[in-house]
Amino acid sequence: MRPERRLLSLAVLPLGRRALPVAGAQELLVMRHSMKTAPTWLIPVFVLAALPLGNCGTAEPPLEQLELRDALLSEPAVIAGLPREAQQRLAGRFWAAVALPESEQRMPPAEASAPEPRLRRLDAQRQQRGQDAFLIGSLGRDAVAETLRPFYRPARSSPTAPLPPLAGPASTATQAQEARALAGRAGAAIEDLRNVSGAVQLERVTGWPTAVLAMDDKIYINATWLTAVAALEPGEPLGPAQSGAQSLRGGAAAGRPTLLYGGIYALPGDEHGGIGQHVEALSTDAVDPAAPPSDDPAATGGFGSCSSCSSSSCSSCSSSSSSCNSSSSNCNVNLCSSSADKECCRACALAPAPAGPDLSMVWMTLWLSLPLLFLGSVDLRTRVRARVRDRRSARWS
Amino acid sequence: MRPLLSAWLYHHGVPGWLAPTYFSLVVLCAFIGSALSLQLARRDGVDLRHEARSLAVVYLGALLGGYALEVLRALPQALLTWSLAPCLQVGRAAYGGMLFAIGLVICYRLTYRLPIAAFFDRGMLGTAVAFLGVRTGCFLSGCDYGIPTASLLGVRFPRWSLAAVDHAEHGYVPLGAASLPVHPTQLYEATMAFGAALIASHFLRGGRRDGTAFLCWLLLYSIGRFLNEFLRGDDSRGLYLGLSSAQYISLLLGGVVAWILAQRALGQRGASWAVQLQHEPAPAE
Repeated sequence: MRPERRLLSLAVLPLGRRALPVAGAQELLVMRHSMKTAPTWLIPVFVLAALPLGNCGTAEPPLEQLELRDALLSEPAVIAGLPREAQQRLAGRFWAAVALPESEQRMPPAEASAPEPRLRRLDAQRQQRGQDAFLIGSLGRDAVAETLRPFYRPARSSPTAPLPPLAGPASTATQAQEARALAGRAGAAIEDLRNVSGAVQLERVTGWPTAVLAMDDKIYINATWLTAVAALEPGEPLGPAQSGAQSLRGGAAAGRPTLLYGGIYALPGDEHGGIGQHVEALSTDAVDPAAPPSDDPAATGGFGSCSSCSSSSCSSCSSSSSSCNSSSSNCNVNLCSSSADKECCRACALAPAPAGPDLSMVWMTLWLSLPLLFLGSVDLRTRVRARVRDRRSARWS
Repeated sequence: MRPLLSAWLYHHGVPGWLAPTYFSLVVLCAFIGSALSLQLARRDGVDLRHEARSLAVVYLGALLGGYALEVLRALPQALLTWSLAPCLQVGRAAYGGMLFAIGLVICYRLTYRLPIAAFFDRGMLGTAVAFLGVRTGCFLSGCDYGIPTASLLGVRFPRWSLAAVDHAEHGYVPLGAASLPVHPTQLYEATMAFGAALIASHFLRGGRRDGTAFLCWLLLYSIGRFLNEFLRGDDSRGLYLGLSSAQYISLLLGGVVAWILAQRALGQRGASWAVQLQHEPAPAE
């Protein structure tokens, strides 16, 4: 069978054998040759191998399968938007992880006194050790160290007394789930922790890499965790539409407090304690509360798009500061790759715009024209050779 | 991904600036692709002058076409807002580059009465190399990322990357954190384009240059691209009635290629593109 015909019958058109008449003799000669050489069976194999790609996509992020830290860092509305089964699986994973034995974690005391940076510092250490997020416990501090103590008592199904109202920004989208969780097993766990730690206030937080943390005189409760564990509580299950879960783009996100996270995830080479620390050291003060809006190319660290990356802020930065000889996309994310000097990148990022015209476009145009020069040289060389050959043949003749 | 690659290189004692950018990979692949095509042309005994010029036309067409398609896509918005800004802030589209380059080089070779199918067959491997490099460049630049996944293939893009900012807007991660692990669709596509070329290259054996190899590659690429688009997570690429613009182009392109192959298979010489090209006049040198 001709390769094209095989191709069509296998992958593209449902043509029957009758629809394909025998081709001309001359073409058949060509095809007979190609039939021996072309493994046309590879084509359906390729198509079959690519087919699963089309069936892998889902609209929701698979937070129930990822690290628990990922789920804790997401917005409560995202968890509420997950399918019911996924929410229940995630809640089950949370309770299973809480019940696992865990030792205390100690670290030299931080300079910062605010609870969130202190927690993030400890979480960064956990990430480097390959540990998942810390879930329930307390964070204490003395002159020598900060200590993260896990706390879990086999929970009752509900608290003995209603918990005081939670301080912090309230949510209308996941209010029902959070209330249901506080009235159930999660509320019992919080009550126990409150009794042990002596904390007075309860505060609702989001975007923290922990579930419930007693610190000083407060207990910080992650609303995302509450939303997740509510899935295992008895009560009217809420679907994504009822729970008010929606895309946060532009809507709920616009009004929510901006959450900033200075840590990074595991990097290649972290097992040697090198690169992760290096990058972390460079990036601890990279998160600026006055972060530029996301649609600003500079805000995306030079990741704006394929084209904008090399044409806008990236190259102008590198061209404006001779001391920073790495590309400025590195500067924007505070990874000065060439000198490992944070000050270099800072200076590069803060360097005033060059007085003269921006030469980045000129350089890029020159760079992109290199293949044209190469092809032009081939053209020229061929022409010169042809002329030399013509002259020689003319002389001989 | 490039910052991470830079940091990784630095950690291993290599200057971080050696990490390639999108455009450095574009240029590198243009060199490799051109060299491959010229080598095949030399082996075929074709005049290298027109081959080099045709390749230059292809390169220019690919560079311009990438923007042209995106400008076309932004045109309705520009007309609605009565502003050129949407057209001036576009990225590049791989399909635009390829189709524009194909159209331009066909015009060039028709003008000079040069064989078309043979040229495309010789350029098929170069095209695949170009896609390999360009998509790897996209991966390093952080564009064209996939949807979140929990599979082993998932890759987290660093903070402030497009994926991370997009995920923060959706509430998946806090602003300033790395993205959730996503499908590296750029690398899938690079692998797919190269795999399709390996399969299609079997049609080049024995000096056969009737366009089958290129058509086969186009068909396989359009099928693979159509499926790969389901895994893409960047909504900014344009979604219309549930399908992306690239999927519509894939359907159209795959249909046209299938029609050409069907014509050839049916033996209708009058309408057959490639059979006609077999009887083209020799280049007017």
